[in-house]
Amino acid sequence: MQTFKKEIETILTHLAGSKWATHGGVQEVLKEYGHLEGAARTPTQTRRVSLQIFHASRAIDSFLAHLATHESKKPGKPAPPAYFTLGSSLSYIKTNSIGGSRFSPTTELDIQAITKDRNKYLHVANVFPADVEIRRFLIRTTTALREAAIFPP
Amino acid sequence: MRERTTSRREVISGIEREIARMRHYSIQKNPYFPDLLNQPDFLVVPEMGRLIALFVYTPHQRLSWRSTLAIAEDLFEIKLATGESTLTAGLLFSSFPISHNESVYLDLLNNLFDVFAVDDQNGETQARSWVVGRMTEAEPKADLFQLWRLERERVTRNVVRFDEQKYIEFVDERMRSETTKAALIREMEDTLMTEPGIEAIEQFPVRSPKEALAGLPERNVFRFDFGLRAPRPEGRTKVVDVAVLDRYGSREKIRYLMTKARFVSYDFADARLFYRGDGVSPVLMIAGNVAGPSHDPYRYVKALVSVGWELEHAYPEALRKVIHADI
Repeated sequence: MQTFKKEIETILTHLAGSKWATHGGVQEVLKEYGHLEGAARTPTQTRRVSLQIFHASRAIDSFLAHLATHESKKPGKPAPPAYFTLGSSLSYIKTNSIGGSRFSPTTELDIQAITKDRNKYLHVANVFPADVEIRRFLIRTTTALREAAIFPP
Repeated sequence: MRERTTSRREVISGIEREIARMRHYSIQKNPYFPDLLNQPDFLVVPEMGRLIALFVYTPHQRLSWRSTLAIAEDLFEIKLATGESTLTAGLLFSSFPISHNESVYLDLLNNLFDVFAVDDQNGETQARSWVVGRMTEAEPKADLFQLWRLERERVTRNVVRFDEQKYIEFVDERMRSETTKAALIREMEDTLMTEPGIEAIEQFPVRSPKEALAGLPERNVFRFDFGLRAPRPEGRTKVVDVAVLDRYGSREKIRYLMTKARFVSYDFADARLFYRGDGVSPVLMIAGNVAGPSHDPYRYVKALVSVGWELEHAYPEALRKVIHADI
């Protein structure tokens, strides 16, 4: 977990240094990642993993929605849906790109898996991931976030 | 040769003090990116929207092509992981005065890194202060943006080929090589003599932009242990390197091989870099194993595949497989 803590700190630094960092919506994503960092210190396993899923999902969800909304405001780009979900953000990015860049095929699969896992754990009563599963979930969110952070605004 | 007078820890502490003095928005010492083979020592955000990665090198030996290209690999990886706008700085802290022969390595690193300096203990704090000061003002080298973008696209295409099941034997730590590279090459030569349909060229040369970037004459090319060419004019040339690898002590060799595969994918003409396409197809024949850390055993395999290496075991039957695959 020590390595993962360092990885989260690195993502925060990477995101703060990215071209997106000055956008208002991304400041909130940075704060959300701060909460995710803090969630790792929760002593009870079920509460910890619930918080980690909650904060990691919100961070990637908001970040991709911000990217897609930003892109949709550029001239000639299709109008955005009424609101962006993780799935619709991915679909928008896949179709329209962000500044000409798209997710790699493996990261697209990761984002689809994030959506599925998040729904499973946030909507089904008394279901919690094991430590191995939460680790995989967090790795997927951080991979997607890292890749998204280098899209040109 | 002079004795090392300053430990790595002291060097890093000195740099940390210099960086801290500049009151940046955020500084992270020893960051961790899961896909990098070598981590930067510092990530610095001087202000929101600007990222600096600083690598500090304290080699125990004089520079060589292998160690230089391993350093260049760090630059490729951080640019691909964080974007071409990340300013990447390197500080080489040498225990020995830099010799005339080594200057070519430094030329390459100077031309690739956004900011690079050498501290050979003649002007200890000057180089350190210069790098720390310069990296906050300098801009990333825009003429290399195209290389980072092309390379990101190439890696994304290659990584699709990666499949854990296919490479399971390469990460088996029990696979240890008890032979040397020279002995393996002799075995390969014997195998090649039994294959009349193929033209095998030892020490096969491949041009790359390395020479132009280092300001070297064109005769300095990458050499592969073998080049395998079919007599048919439309046949592809496969270039083969043989490597003895193990879980421990192989990281610099792997980083060097990474850069080698990246560079031979490009050419340099009319003062610009361009992607060569599928002209050169590198094969790495491995004796031993290429297992990564226990939490990520496929790390090195995935890295090598991502830059274009086709992996095979270093034994004659595998060489036959390479020959008859699609040459």
